[in-house]
Amino acid sequence: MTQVWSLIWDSFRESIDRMMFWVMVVLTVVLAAAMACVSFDEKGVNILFGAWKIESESFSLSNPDFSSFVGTIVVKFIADYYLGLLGVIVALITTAGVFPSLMTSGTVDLLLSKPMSRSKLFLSKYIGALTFVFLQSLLFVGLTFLVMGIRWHVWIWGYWGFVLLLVILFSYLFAFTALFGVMTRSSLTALLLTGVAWMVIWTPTAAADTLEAFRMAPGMTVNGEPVERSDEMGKWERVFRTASWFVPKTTDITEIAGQWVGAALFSDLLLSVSDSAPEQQRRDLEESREFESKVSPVDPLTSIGSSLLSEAVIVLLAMYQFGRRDY
Amino acid sequence: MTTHVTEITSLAVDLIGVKKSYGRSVEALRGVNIQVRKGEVFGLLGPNGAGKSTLVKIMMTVVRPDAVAGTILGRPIGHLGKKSVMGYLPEVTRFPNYLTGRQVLDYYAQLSDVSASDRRRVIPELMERVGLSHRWHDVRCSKYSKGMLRRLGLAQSLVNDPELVVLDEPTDGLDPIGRRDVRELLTELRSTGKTIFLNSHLLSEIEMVCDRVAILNQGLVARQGTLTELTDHSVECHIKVDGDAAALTAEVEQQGGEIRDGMIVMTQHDGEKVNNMIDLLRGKGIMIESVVPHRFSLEDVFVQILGADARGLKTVEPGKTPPVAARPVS
Ligand SMILES: Nc1ncnc2c1ncn2[C@@H]1O[C@H](COP(=O)(O)OP(=O)(O)OP(=O)(O)O)[C@@H](O)[C@H]1O
Ligand SMILES: [Mg+2]
Repeated sequence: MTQVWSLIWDSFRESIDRMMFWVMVVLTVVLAAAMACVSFDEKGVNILFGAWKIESESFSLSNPDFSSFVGTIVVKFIADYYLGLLGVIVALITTAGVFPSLMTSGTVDLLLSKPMSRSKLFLSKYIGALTFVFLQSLLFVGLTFLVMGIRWHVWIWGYWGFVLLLVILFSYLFAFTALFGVMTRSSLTALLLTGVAWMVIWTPTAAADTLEAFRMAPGMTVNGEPVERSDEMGKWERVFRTASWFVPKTTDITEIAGQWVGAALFSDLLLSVSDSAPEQQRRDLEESREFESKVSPVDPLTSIGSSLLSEAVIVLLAMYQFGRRDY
Repeated sequence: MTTHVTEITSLAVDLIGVKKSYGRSVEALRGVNIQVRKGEVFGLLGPNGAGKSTLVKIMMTVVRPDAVAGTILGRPIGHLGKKSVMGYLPEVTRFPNYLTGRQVLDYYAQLSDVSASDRRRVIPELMERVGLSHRWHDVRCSKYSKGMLRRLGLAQSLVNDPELVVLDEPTDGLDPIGRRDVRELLTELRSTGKTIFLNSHLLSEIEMVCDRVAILNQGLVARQGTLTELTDHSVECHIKVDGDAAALTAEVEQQGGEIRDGMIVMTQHDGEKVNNMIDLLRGKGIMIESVVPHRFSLEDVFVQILGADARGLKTVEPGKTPPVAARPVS
């Protein structure tokens, strides 16, 4: 066990030695500070401690739905852009070098000569990278959680789940980075190939979701032309849905994130602030809410479970590659 | 981790028929047999590309052999319990450059399952012993010079108090003082009963510290034995005469000698032939200036083997005792 801990601890020390890590820390702190500059009172929004006040009914403590309203908007934004994109990309960049640098001559010779199996070495390094990303997102979520709580009185406990979700999403992709890193011994190549893999595994779920949306929205139009539904589309939807079972489902993660924070449907939110909106706009919103509520929600257990299974296959493949080659 | 197994063998390393090819074209090892006794300093010699590093990497499970039989410390290669009592200094080392010298040793000691109390006690001691003075202990190893990194590597290989230490060119990059320090360290280690497996192409060094040596050439063991065994066979006698010896070529060759650098060289260790030669010279009234028996140094043996190989003579097949080639190349 000492071995596993010291390898994990070493991965951590290695990562914090990277510039990228500190850039991320600074960005996190800046974002949290920026959020802290905004507060709300009974009348509206207060920016930079009274320097600038915006009167708003919805964005004020007098709005009874204020906390779910602000929380949902901010958290949805974080889910889409930090959790689903920026955070994962930065995490991949900081950890892409883990296996290539492990495998440089002079490093790997020493490690392999120690009394542990190659698979233990590999898995410890893999877990080390996950631990590092866990801590990184813990910092992000922790800081932003506190800012929202203390400054806005919005305590969204489900938001902590983002830490786990980010690690899970990262691990889907890091399996590929590890595999390509072991195969090519180049962090840059591994990173680029991971990008390609991300697109490939994104395709089935995205295609199935789009086709499902067509199925659920009979009146949908594209460029003013009504979209024809055909059996053909139903068939392809099933094909893509089935294919998505065999790959990590990255797109589901942001949706699960939304579920965990109990975010209301986005159109609900818009409806709640669109009292004064023109009639036509309200009708559109109601229609799209109706549509959103019809699309079958992602089941976190089956989505994450099946994704982790396919991730395990890729990790095993990488471990096998790592174990059988000469250094 | 301790394993309570009594080993019947007195051999620390007993490897038979080690084969390894890289890809289809490079046959790095072609059936190597190596036997190292417990408590001795064993030197593995060989020219560049002979396969020395490949062999020790196989011993340390860094490289997977195509074929191997035999044991290390009485267990098959890769036995985890035995690996925890082995130390290894690779040909090149790359330490995490965000760690200080002391942290590096602590890290590798943890990976070798050394207890925390042992680590605290052993590490500073070991650093002093390899010549890393106190003020370097807490300096990041990215600031170390090449020789200092080599010393750190050496300390790393000893951090788990190993029974068998495998060193791949330990003195590479060291200054003369450093080399002497390493030699002293090796002698000291031997006196504490450790077995040392040393890879080197520095013959003088091997000559100074090793009990037994093997010479590896093109993936095969060309010679293996104690230093005296290797050099004893190889005595030649140099007879220096007044005047030009070249005129006597025919007679000399008839007696089994040869002319080299104006001297008569009797290439076999055969007193009778030497005496016959002297009689012959004296009979001709030639003035003998000196008769000098010439014991081969390890270098001569080494060059002789390479020379034999270079001239297309057969290298020794695995398992056979090598014949002593008659002709050193000058
Ligand atoms: N990873 C590798 N891939 C392909 N060929 C290799 C590899 N490692 C070694 N070789 C080849 O195997 C042969 C033996 O190499 P090795 O490093 O064992 O020699 P060596 O005796 O240690 O040489 P040196 O004295 O230069 O260190 C060489 O021909 C080398 O080119
Ligand atoms: Mg070598």
